[in-house]
Amino acid sequence: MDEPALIHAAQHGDLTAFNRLVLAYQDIAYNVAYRIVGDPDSASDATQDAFISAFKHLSSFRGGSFKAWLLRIVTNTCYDELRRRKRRPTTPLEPLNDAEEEIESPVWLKDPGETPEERAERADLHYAIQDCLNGLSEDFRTVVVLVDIQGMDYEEAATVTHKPLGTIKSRLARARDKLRECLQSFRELLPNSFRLEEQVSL
Amino acid sequence: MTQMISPQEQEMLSAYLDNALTPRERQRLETQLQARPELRAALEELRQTRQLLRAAPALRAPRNFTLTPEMAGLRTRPPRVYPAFQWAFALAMVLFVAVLGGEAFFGSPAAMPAADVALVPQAESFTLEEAPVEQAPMEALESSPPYIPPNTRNTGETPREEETAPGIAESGPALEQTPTPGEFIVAAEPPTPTLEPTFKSAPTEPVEDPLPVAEEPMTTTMMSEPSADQGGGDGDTLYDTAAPAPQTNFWASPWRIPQAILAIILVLSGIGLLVFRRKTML
Repeated sequence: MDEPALIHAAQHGDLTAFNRLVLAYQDIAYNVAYRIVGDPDSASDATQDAFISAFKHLSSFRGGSFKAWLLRIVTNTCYDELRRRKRRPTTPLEPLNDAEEEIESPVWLKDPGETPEERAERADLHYAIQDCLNGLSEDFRTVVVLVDIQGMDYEEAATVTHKPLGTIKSRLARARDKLRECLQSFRELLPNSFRLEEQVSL
Repeated sequence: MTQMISPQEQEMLSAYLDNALTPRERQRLETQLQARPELRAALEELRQTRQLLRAAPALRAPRNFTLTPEMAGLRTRPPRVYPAFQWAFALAMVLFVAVLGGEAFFGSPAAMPAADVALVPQAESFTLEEAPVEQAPMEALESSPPYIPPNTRNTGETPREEETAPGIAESGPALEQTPTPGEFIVAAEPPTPTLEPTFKSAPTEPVEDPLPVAEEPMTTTMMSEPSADQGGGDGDTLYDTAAPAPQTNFWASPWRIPQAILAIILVLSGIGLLVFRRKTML
């Protein structure tokens, strides 16, 4: 994929070229959105809105990392979604299935390729992480999602959040410390491999 | 144990895990880590937390988020000629209705020629009655068996024949004396009897003489049905105009041309509007 050519074509209104960029980045965008907003439906809405906004404001992209530019739009759209949710808290605590029954957590349905034990273990981990992420403030959550879940470096995270590197450092440290405290309560749910690794490392 | 860790030290530990410290900061932190077990424990817990976060499964998009033209706000705008088609359609419609209304209100000038043509047979019948001698050969030719089909086909008016019956009766002897079949044969035998000699001979011969008069229409009718004739010019023009009268009257009306032009403009502009509308909807 010739990303600069696609971006250039999309900037001139080529929707097909832009949609190729969408297909290339939609997993990352949705992953970030899901980690920030915390539920799949809102994450889907935020991701879709973010791509729409990205296409409409593509002329403001002046080069550099398209991924960082796009994820900035995604995070801003997620903030809008969170604010909208605060104004109208109609979303149930747990999503409903087709029979209008509460699903304890949709994340339990992820990774079907794993064994039931591995799946349960990873689901525990997934649930624990997401629950702890939801307890963070938006700014801290975004930084830790970008750096620790998406694997960005500080510069990229600073580009996405439009914050200086020092802010990224401090926010990341605070977020990790809070997550550490939060995950203490899920320690019995954490996989043995992490505990063993902890023992070995100690 | 970790309560003794300051926020600055926590930030240093976090950056240390990401290799985001300067060499000097890194060396100073490593020195402290060797000296302070609580700092090592805090670093290890932070490393575990970071590992857990990085081990979180990457979610895949539940669906494609590609944009449709509507979502992207790319509703194809109609071309600049679209308003021109709209105006053309509207104007043509108004004018078309006006022309139709004008024709209905003021009447079609074509009605006059149509009426004239309609009256021609009657006038002709009068001329036939008034001058039976001149028209007798023509009527005789029409009434003669070999020529009935073409001439009656042209006229197609049975009443006229009824009207001309007295004329024929008046000139009955002359007609009966004319050997019509013989004349027909004689006139048909010359392979190419041109019209010129006939025209030349026609005026010189007396009108009362039925024989030469009878030859002239025979030759003309043999050569070509509707073309020029000499004595019975009125009768031939009647035959020529009477057959195609309905179509000629319809298109001869001066209202037809603007109506046709406006109808074409209406159709073309309507098609253009539909095409552009379809493109716009897409």
